[in-house]
This record gives sequence, structure tokens and C-alpha cells, in this order.
Amino acid sequence: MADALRVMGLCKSYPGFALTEVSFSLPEGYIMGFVGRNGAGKTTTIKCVLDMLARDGGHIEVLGHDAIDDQVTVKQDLGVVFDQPFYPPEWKVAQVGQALRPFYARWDEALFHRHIDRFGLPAGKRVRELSRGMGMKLMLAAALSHHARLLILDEPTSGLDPVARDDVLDVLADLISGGGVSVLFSTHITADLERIADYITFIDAGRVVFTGAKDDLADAYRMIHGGPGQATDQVRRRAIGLRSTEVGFSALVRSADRAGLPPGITDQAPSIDDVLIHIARQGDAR
Amino acid sequence: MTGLLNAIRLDHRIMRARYPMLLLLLAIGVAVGTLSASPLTTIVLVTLITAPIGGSYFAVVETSRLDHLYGTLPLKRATAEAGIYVHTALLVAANGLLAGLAAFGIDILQHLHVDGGSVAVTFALAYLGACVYLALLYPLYLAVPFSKVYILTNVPFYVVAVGLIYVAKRTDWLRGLAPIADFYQHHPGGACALTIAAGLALLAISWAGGHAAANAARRR
Amino acid sequence: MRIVVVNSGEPIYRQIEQQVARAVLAGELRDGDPLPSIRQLARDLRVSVITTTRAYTELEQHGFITTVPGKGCFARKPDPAQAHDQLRGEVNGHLREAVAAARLAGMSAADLVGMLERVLREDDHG
Repeated sequence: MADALRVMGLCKSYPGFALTEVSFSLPEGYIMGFVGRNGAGKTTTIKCVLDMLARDGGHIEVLGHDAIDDQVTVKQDLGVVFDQPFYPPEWKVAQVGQALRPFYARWDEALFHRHIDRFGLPAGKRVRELSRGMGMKLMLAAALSHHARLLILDEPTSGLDPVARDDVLDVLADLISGGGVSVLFSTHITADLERIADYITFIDAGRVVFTGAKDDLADAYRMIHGGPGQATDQVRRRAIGLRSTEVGFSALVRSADRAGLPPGITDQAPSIDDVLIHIARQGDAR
Repeated sequence: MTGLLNAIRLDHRIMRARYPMLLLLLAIGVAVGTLSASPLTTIVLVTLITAPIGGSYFAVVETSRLDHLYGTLPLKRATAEAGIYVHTALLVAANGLLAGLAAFGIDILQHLHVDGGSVAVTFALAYLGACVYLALLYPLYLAVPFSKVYILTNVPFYVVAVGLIYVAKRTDWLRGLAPIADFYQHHPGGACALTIAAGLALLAISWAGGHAAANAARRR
Repeated sequence: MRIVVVNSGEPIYRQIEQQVARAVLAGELRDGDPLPSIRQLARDLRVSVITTTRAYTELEQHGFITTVPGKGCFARKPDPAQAHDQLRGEVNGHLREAVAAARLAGMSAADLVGMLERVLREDDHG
């Protein structure tokens, strides 16, 4: 199975922050949630994929081509959405299509207009007059109008109300149902991904903590709960992001560590949020 | 080549809203030239004060995060950078030539009898000046966000002015200038072509430097 | 065919699997009836493609559906033994749930068996 995106050992350092050996792969035709809290390195990674930042080490392949050396070829097949519109504020919606059209061999003007109609974007409205949700939909319309095979969305739903977020998920679900498109969706709003994501990559403080099928997350980790007295040393040693109160404790543990814990401790499959929060808390505690 | 044309066209679409400013600059030049009965001044003034308009391009890039747009487009960075240079060079040329036409207008209206050769030479020299300005500043704008360096917008003028004063005070520049002036007088066409070519060559060198500076900036 | 997925803690692929299997066993889906494609179903249910893929894989292994390359997935007349196994599996699952709930309620094994006998009697008369 071919990979739509393959990041191998990506490194990028700044004073005070570094991406360290970030590696993950997204097979063609699937959605990957790229999850982590603010500042974890999601946007930095994406900018390295786009060569907006020069990486310090590692390789990136998009649809079989080197993402850096072949970027002009690669970007023909790439649609990108950021959290805020990246167009001059005085441009009208229709002018965005006009401006982008010459760059793409497979630009589909009719498709662009269908998308902006579907999203309810008036062709004559200026970018600066668009609400946050509409601005994001404009970027999405543009990203979808040149038959891109890989869509990269960097926090597209942050700042959107639930209805707008649902609209985005609708569009993505539709897109994936065709089978020819892959999606990398970075977000810290994990609810969006709970059901629709096929793969998840967790990043915390510049490192990948987990990458794989979302269903494997439940296999890799368990959420445990117990009474206050049950938080033994053994539990504390194995716990990730232990949260302890008067009425009990909760923590994440690796599935392998689940066996042998004191009886009476319940466990269940973790939600994506559970994993994100507890791994992040653990990182903070260090 | 298509890439470069696309880049220029994109820059045009980005800058289009600011074109009325160019007309304002033209008007200022015409006013000054009319009032001082010096059409050549119009040409020099307009050409030189049009050069900083490129700054507003970099300002928009920064405030509207257009670097994200360029990051997503299938366009080589070096080509995008070349596009900015070419587009600004064209704007300056266009406004300068309009100023030239206006100069003729002033000339006719005020019966000043300025000859075509002088107009051409003035334009060429002014254009060279504008190219020097752009060549000095654009590598900086490509590497550093505009809001951090916009106060330097006028620095090249000061640098050049200081340089000229230095040269004037320290050397017998008039004598050195005489053969050059002679050349311009007797071969205006060739001299203009050379002057403009020199300006463009400066821009090309600046582009190479700007590309390297931008690359260095991306490493950070 | 009606498929509904809920956040019950039961893995989604299993919910899909059970509902499709039940539809086949009940005759709602007859032999040869087409099913939505894996991707279409994923879109309609707003779940991941891997989830529906897994559900269909399990269904195929248990003989409830068959995949024809290039054409799609179709329901299959169930083998009576299979139907039997499927239903027994469900009974087992329900019984386990009942036992867990009974424990929470503090019921004894005898209480629970008594309750089961009452239900069986009611069902016979109803």
C-alpha cells in the first residue's frame, strides 16, 4: 500500500524547542489525526513538510516524491488549509480562484464554484469580510479545487463553532468516501477525530508518542480507575499522568502494564482525549 | 518561465489595490516639476519615490500571512523571489515612463525646450538609482519580517546621499564626471541602455543574495 | 437496512458487525442483496474506514457477507449453524451483562437464577 505521506526522522531545533526524530506514515486513502496540545510541534512539522521551514534532518516523502526536492511537482497534488485565510484581505472570493488557477495543471474552476456555493460563500464577498468559519471554508474550497490527492489541514477547526466544525467533518467524510484522497488533520480538538480518523499520530514536546491505527490506541493503552487506597507504588510507577483525588485516582497505563495491578482497579479503552491529556500531564510533571 | 510569469501575475494581484498610490506619486512629481519649471525633476522624483512601493508588498505578506500562500503553491521559492523583483522593476519603469510623458507635457506647456535625449538619460539614471535602492533593501525584506525593518525604508537614500557627499568632498568628481557626461551627451541611446542594463544587473545580483538570505532565515 | 452506532463502549466495528449479522439472520437482507461499500458506510456513519473495513472483514469471515472484487459487498444466506453460533454468542453476551448488573445490585446467584426462571415463564405465557 502506497503512502500518501511519509515523515522519517524529522528534526528541527529552535532555542527552547525541538522536533526530535518525528516519524509517521499515512497510507493513501485514509485520514490521519495529528494530535497534540498547543506548542507540541504540529504546525512546525507541517511547515517542514511544506518547506516553509528548513528541516535540520530527516526525510519527507509525499505521494512517493521527495517533499523538499520535488516540491513543485508535489504541491500540484497537495491542498493545504491553515487556521486563518492566507489571502490579501481585499480579494474577493471569486478572485481567489482566479489567482490560484494558473498555478495548477488540474485546476477545476467549475468545481471551485460548486464548492463555494455549497459552503455558502458569496463570490463577491471580500476575504476581510468573511467570518472565521467562512475563511476556513474558502481555503478548503481552494484546496479541493485542483484534484489534490493529499490534503493537509492545520488546526482548521480551532475557533469554529460546533456547526461549522461539523460541516468540515462532513466535507472530509465525503472526500474520503471517494477513496482517492488522503487527509492529514492536525488538531487539539480530539472530539473531531474520535470516530472519523483511521490513524492517529500523537506528538508531545516535539516527539512522537504514538503513531498507528486509531483502534490500536485502545490496544496500546488503557485508562485505569481506582479508589484512593489503591494507588500503590506499583500503580504510581506505571501510571502516565496520574490524577489523584479524595475519591479515587485515574491514570493511563500501557496495556502491557495493566496485568498484575491490584484487583478492583477498573480499566477501559481510552479516548483520544484521555491519551492526549495524560501523556501531556506526564510530560509536564517531568 | 511560466512559473515566473505566474509569480509576477500573482504579485500584481496582490499589489493591485495599492496602484492608486502610484498615481499619487506621479501627481506629486508632476506638481513639483511644474512648479519648479523642471520637467526632468519630475522624472527623477517619480522614479525614485516609486521604488519604496515594494515595501507595501512585504507589509501585506506579513500581515496577511501570505507566506502560507506561497508555501502551498507549486512555485519554486527562487522563482517567487524573482517575481517580486521583476514586478517592482516593472512598476518603477511604468511610473517613470509616465513621468517622462508628463515631463514632455510640462515642457510643452511651459515652453522649456527639453530635448528627448535629456529625458531619456534622466530616466535611465533615475532608474539606476531606483535599482540601487531595491538591490540594497530587498534581500533584507526577504529575510526579515517587514514590521521589524520598515524603519530602514529610507536608509538607502541616506547612504547614497552620504556617499555622494563624501565623493564630492574628497575627490575631484567634476573632472571624473566630464568624460562620462560627454559619453551620455554623444551616445544617449547606448548610454541609456547601458545604464538600465547596469540597474537590472544589480537587481539580479541582489536576487541571488536575497535568495540566500531568505534560505538562511528559514533555517532559524 | 438500519445501522446505528452509539458510544456505548462496545467497539464500533462490533456494533456494525452485529447489526448486519442480525439483519441477515432476520431475513431483512436476503442472499445477494448489496451492501454499502466500505467507504460509503464509513461516510454515512461518520466512522473511520478502518472501522468499517474491520466490520466487513469479520462479517465475511463468519459467512454473512461476500465481497466480489470490482462489484462490492453482498449479503449471503446464512448457514444455519452459523446463525446458531451468532445467536448463541449474543445470548452469552447478554447474560454476562446481566451478571455484571446483578453484582452491582448486590443480587445473589440464586436471586439471578430465580429472575431468569420468572422471565422464561412469562415469555412462555406471552
